[in-house]
Amino acid sequence: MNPTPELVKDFWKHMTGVYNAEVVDKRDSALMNLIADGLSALGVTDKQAFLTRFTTTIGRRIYTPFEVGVETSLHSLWGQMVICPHECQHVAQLDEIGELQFEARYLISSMARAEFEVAGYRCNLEMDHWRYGKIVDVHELAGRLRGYGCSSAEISVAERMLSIAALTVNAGGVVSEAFSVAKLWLDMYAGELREPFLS
Amino acid sequence: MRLVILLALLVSCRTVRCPVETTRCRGNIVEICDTLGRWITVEDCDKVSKQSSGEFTCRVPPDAKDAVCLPK
Repeated sequence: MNPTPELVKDFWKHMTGVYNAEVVDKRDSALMNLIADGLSALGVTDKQAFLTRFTTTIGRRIYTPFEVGVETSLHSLWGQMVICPHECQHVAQLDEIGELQFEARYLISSMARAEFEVAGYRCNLEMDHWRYGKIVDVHELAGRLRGYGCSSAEISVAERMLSIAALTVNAGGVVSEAFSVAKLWLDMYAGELREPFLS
Repeated sequence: MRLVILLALLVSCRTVRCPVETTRCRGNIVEICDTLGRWITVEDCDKVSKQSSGEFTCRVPPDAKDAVCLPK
């Protein structure tokens, strides 16, 4: 069974409520356009990809390249659910180390950026494992960091980190804080999304 | 004398870098050596235990090379 638009909206409402975060449409944001120009000039990422593919969290604002609950060719409804704990995990990181340090390290160090994103990707991995009972391709997941200006060596470390998380998840562990919050809600309200053999 | 002091300072300031991509258990935390030669946290097994239905500990399974949080 696939998620309904209402389910996706309810999930986002719950998660952003827990993390005291706000959803903003990225395409309408002048700030996001400015950042896209800056990142493009620095060679970190392509402007169009930044605006249409990536969800971005700054502070407690989550800028989405889609309207939550409205499926697009780039963002399926399940994809929108997967990205939600990922971004909430960034809010959790911000709460843990402080906004200034989080933003500074994210912008200045590509290794730190890889480390922060791995924490988000662990949520992706756990979300898909929750639904399908399988581990996603961690090589592909880590490879997405190329779009964040990370080097091959950094991507290799990221892949190793995700492989380690996969072992824990396969053993029944819940690794990410944001996924642990998501899982409580999903188990209660979205159990029908899981593969029948998992129920 | 100045040269000796300078060398002593250089030696004392030199940081020990870990081998990139090696992993270890530090207490109940899985760490990996990043590209800058620093140990960073991969998983905190105590946190995993709190979020999961069982107790997890950091260890290197037999025939594996990486430290990982696994059920006790």
